[in-house]
Amino acid sequence: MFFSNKKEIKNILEFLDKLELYMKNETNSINIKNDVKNKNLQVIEEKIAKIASLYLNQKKSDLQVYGEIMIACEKVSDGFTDDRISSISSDAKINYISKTLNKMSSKIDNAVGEVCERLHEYENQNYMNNVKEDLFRGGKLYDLLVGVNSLRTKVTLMLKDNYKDALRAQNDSEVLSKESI
Amino acid sequence: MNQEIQLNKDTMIVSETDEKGIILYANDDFCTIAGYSKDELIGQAHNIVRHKDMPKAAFKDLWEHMKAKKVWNGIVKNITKEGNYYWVNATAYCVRKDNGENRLLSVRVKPTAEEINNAIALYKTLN
Repeated sequence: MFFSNKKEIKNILEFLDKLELYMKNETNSINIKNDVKNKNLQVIEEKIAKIASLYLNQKKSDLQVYGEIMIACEKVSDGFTDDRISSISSDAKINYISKTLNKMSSKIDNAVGEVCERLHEYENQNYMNNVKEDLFRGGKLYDLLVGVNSLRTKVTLMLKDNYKDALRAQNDSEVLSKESI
Repeated sequence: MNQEIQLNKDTMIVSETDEKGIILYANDDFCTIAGYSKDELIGQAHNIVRHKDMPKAAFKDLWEHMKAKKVWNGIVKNITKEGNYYWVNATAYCVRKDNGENRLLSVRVKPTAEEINNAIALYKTLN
C-alpha cells in the first residue's frame, strides 16, 4: 500500500512537472491523465486535472485568436490592411489587443485608400478634392496626408501660374499681331 | 533529403486558406520551415506540404471538422520543398469574415516527443 502510494505520488509529481513546463511555454501541449487508484490521492489528482484542463482549454481557445492576430499583423507588414480579427477570447486583454489592431488596420486602410483615390484623381488632372488630414494625429502617416495635400496645393499653384503665363502670352501675341499689321 | 527538421519551441507556423484549401496567406515561420517563399506558397493547395506518410483519414477528419465549424487538433507530418520533413501540433479552425465568407486558419507549433511517437503508432494502423 505504502509502495503504491509512493508510486502514485511520483506520477502526480511527474504530471505537475509537465504542467509546469507547459505553463512556462516550454512545451506546447499536455496529456491529462486520471490513473490514480488511491482514493485520497484521487481527490488531489482530480483537482489538478480540473485546473490543468481549464488552463489547457483557455490556451487552446486563445491560440485561435493569436493565430488571427499573427496573420493580421504579418499581413499589415506585407502591405495588406484589409484583414480583421473576429475570434473572441475569454481574456479581455487579448480582446482589447484584437480590437485595437482592427481599429489600426481600418484607419490605415481608409487613409491609404483615400490617398490612392486622390492620387488617381490628380493623375487625371482633377485637383478639386484634398485628403482628410485628421485621420491621424501625428507621425509619418499624418505627414503623408499633409504631404499629399501640399502636393495638390503646389500643383494647383503651378497650374494657375501656367494659366496666367498662357493668358499673358496670348495677349502679347495679339498685341504683336496688331502692331505688325 | 528525408531529414527531420525540429521546430523551435517558439516557432509559430500560421496559414490562411480558403474553403477549398488554397493558401491565401502564409507567415514567415511557415516559409522558413517549409523552404518556400511566400510567392511560392500563396495560391497553392495546402497539400503542397503534405507528407506521404500522413493517412488520408486524418485529413478527412480535418475537413469534416472544418465543415462542421469545429476546431481540429492533430499531430501532422509535413514535407519541405527539399524533401525533408517536420512534425507539427496543428490546430485548424474556420473563421467567418466580416463579409460573410469563411476562411480556414491553421496554427502549428512544436509537438512533444510523446505526441510524435503516438502519432507514428496511430498512423501506421491507418495507412
